Amino acid sequence: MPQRARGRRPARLTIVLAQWCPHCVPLSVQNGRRLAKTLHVPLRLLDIDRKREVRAADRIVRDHGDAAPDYLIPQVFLEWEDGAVEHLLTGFSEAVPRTARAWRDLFASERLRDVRREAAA
Amino acid sequence: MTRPGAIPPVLRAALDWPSGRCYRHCDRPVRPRRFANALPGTWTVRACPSGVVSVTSYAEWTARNPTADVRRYLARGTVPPRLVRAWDLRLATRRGPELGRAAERFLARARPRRGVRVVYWRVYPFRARDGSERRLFVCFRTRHAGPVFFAADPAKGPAVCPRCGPRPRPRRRAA
Ligand SMILES: [Zn+2]
Ligand SMILES: [Zn+2]
Repeated sequence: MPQRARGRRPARLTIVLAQWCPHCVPLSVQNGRRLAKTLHVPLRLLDIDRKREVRAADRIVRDHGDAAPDYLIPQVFLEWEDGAVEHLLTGFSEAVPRTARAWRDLFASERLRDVRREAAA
Repeated sequence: MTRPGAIPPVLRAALDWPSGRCYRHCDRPVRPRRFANALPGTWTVRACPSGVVSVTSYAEWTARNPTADVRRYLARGTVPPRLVRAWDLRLATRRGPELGRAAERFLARARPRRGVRVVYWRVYPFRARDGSERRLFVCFRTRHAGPVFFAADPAKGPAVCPRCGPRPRPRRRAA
C-alpha cells in the first residue's frame, strides 16, 4: 500500500526490466525517465539479464514487489531517503497498451501528486 | 454483501481490458471470457477465435497471495494437470494509483487496506518430443463444468479437446 509519508523525500526510482520485454523497452524506460525527472531523483535500471544487476533486482522484487519463481517485469519502485521502498507498478500481461495506460494513470494519480508535494517540500 | 475477495464493480471496470491480439499465433483479436469457480475472485481467459490462449488471469481483492489456489484450480481443468507449472504463474499487485482515479480513491478509502492481487498464467509455445510446436488451447463447450485447457499442435487444424473428443460429423441418410 502507498505509505503516507511526512517530512521525507524520495531518493531514487528503480525499474526492474529486460531489454527484450516490450512492456519495458522503450515504454517503461521513457516513462521512468519522465517520472524521475518530475521527482528530481535519479533513475536506476536493473536488467535481469545482467549478472551484476540481477541480484539487486531479485532482492527488491522479493522484499517489496511481486515475487514469483519467474516474476513479471517491469516492476517499478520508489525508494525514499529513510530507506522505505514503495512498489508503484508491475507490468500488465494483458497487452503492452494496457501497461502504457497504467503509466498514464500513475502520472495522473493522487498518490503521485502527494509524492511531488513531498519532494518539493 | 459481496464475498470477501470478490472484485467490486469499480475495480472490475478498472481492470477490464477488452482489446488485444493473439500472442505469437494468428494476431487476430483475443476475446476475454470470464468464468467462475469456488474462488471468490474473477477469472478471465484471453483466447483467439481458434482457441489459442494468450493469457489466463485470476484477480482477487485481498492481502494474501492466491497463487497456490490458482494453481490448484487450474490443474483441475487442465489435461494433463502437469501443464500448470509454478514457473508460469506470475503475481501482480494493483495498488490503486496505476488503475485510474475512481479505483485509486476506492482502494484508498477501503479498510482494511489491500490491493488487488492478479495471478497470470501464461504458457509459452513449446516443442513436443517429435519437435512439433505445442500451444495452450481452451475449450469452452458447455458440457464441461468449466473451461478445459490442453496443449495441441496449432498447425494440425482445429484442436481436439481431450474431454469432448472430435466434433461429430453431420449424419447423411443413404439415398
Ligand atoms: Zn491465435
Ligand atoms: Zn471440450
